[in-house]
Amino acid sequence: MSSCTEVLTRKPTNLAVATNPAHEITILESDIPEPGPEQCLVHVRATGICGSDVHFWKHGCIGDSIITKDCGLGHESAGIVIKTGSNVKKLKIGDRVAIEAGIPCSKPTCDYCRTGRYNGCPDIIFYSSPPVDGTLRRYHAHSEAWLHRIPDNVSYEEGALLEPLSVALAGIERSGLRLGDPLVICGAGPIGIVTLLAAHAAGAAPIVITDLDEGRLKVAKSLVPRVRTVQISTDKSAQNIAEEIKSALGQEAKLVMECTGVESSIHSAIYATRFGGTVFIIGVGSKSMHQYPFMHASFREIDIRFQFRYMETYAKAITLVSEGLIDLKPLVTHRFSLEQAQEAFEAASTPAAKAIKVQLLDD
Amino acid sequence: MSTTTTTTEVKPSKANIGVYTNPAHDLWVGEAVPSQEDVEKGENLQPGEITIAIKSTGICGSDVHFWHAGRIGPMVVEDTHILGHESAGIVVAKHPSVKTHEIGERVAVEPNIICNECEPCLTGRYNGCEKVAFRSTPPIPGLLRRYVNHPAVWCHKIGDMSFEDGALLEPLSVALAGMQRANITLGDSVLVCGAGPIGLVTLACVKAAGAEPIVITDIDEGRLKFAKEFCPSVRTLKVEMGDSPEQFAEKVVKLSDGVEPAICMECTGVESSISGAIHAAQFGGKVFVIGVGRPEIKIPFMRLSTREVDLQFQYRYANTWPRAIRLLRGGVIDLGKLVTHRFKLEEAVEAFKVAADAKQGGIKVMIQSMEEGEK
Repeated sequence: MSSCTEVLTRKPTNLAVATNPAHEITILESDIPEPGPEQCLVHVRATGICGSDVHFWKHGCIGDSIITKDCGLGHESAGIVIKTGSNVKKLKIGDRVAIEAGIPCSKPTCDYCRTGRYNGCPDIIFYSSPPVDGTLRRYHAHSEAWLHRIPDNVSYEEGALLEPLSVALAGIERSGLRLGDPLVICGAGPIGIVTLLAAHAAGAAPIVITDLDEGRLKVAKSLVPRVRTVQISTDKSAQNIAEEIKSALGQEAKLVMECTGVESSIHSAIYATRFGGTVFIIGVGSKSMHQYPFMHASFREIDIRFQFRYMETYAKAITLVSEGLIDLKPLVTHRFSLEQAQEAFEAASTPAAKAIKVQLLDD
Repeated sequence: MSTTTTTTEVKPSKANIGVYTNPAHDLWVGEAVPSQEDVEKGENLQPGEITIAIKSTGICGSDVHFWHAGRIGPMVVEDTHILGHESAGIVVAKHPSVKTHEIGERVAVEPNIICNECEPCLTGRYNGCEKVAFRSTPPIPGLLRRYVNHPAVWCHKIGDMSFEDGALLEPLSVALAGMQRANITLGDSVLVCGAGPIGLVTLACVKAAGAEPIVITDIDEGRLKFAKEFCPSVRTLKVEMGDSPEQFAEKVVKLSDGVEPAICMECTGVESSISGAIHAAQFGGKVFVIGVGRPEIKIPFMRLSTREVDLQFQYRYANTWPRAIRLLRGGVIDLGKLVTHRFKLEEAVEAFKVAADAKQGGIKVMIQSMEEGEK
């Protein structure tokens, strides 16, 4: 499909969306990169905005990751290969791909990579984690090994959504969720929603989802009609909220996939969980220290577990979408061009916009 | 092999006494039930029950806490209350319905009486039984008596094991329960926080399981010295109170030749120790909290999240006595050195004072009701 390379002539300038220490969204122009010997040049067709991108923009840091100069945003991308490096073996021009944004060192000397926990690799290059520029740009050179071919029945938008789906899948896999297990999901934002879709496909039953926002719960219900929704009111105690969750589920929770990272939500999750159950936290909150009801968790042997990014999820994510088990299409609520980055980020960060997933598309 | 030894007293020859506390934090030894007469006649036993002449009982930190503080969480001393739940003894009477035990048999008592109907019971995690009657948790009277009636099914036969070892099966069960769920295997690098009785029993277990290296921490130099004598290959680390969790972690890893612990068995329940363990644990590792502590604790959430560290908790035990008995009888684990002080049942108040006073250097204080020559 050499028609995909014509964009190089039509759009000879690379555009990248970045932020800076002054909390601005900027569109930076640069030359089109040359792919290295093991890399492919990808025309990025769709990139989703993640909560972390918004956070880097607004707050300039996440934990020890600090924006000290211009830093490109975005890590949820898919596109088409338009150039291949001299050593590229499998991919060809015209291949449509999803970009896995975290490239670990893969060295035998790395304990994490060697033991199959590459998401923990201390030398990982994660695009959009400062100081490494993200993939929210028109042209991006990426290691062939970390590009995943997507079949024709998976759109670029869905390809970009494979990244948040990977987060959910990684959590679900490690959580031990099984067919027929009751499940509580805290949070109906993008991560809560993809977790809901994956859990539904996995046969979790019944499923309860919680959120502060009624609109988000309506979206959840429209995607998975059998889900039971619980709207959280912040003036209720964690124990009271836990009672509402248990009541909606019809039993004490066995597993809670906590997708907000908010301390009070985690408290409710702990109080709603049965003896020997698990609270599995995918969400990242804004606080580095949390206070937990220790003796309650102790008396009830409640496991508190955590997910950090993902590893080896793309093949599974692609299969689930391509085979029709998970439908990600309804999640994209707002579409913008790269040039409209400012509006895109505003839509992603303004509750009134009622966005689920905002994507920037480039054709 | 069941033998009637000539030195073991099976006929109840003394009045039943028990060790009591109350909401006013008094501690005394007084009359207890079942009465000596009832025991002699085998009367007032419920179907399924046997009477045990308790020979050895260890004092647990929770017994001291119920005395001093009158409560642990929602469990409150509201009336006079008998303490103790780490016991072994000899069967001296049984209800006619009991076919599994004989008079004279040596047993260790598992203190929980479960309902067998709730979900935790039905799924093999009976330590979570919703209706459990746990001896020494108010209002259920404990085992620190000369004679106790208890369901035979919860009295495990110990053969010729000493009564002290039989009593040590309970803290051993706590450590074993934690170890099994923490999944410690041969060659794992392990951190044990706390060199009190639970830390030391846990140390013995992880050592026997083949963990290497093992680091044990404590704020008390004396306890670390004891730990080193108890387990010569262990690496000891004195905790400096001013150290941050990061500094603590750095010291642990350095002491482990640069290997981050895969599993941290946290046996103090103290917030700063738990935080330190979280920082020391490897990516994907586990911090397993056996210790109990304050109702709420502050923990380093981002560290747990970015390192995928599991935070797990242990509450009592389930299905551990048979395993614990095999381990002690087979000599795989030897806990004898942990018994540092012994007192007669009549001197129980003195025993508790020693157990409660850190300066006495007590690890496990045993309260005995034995005849001359009995073990």
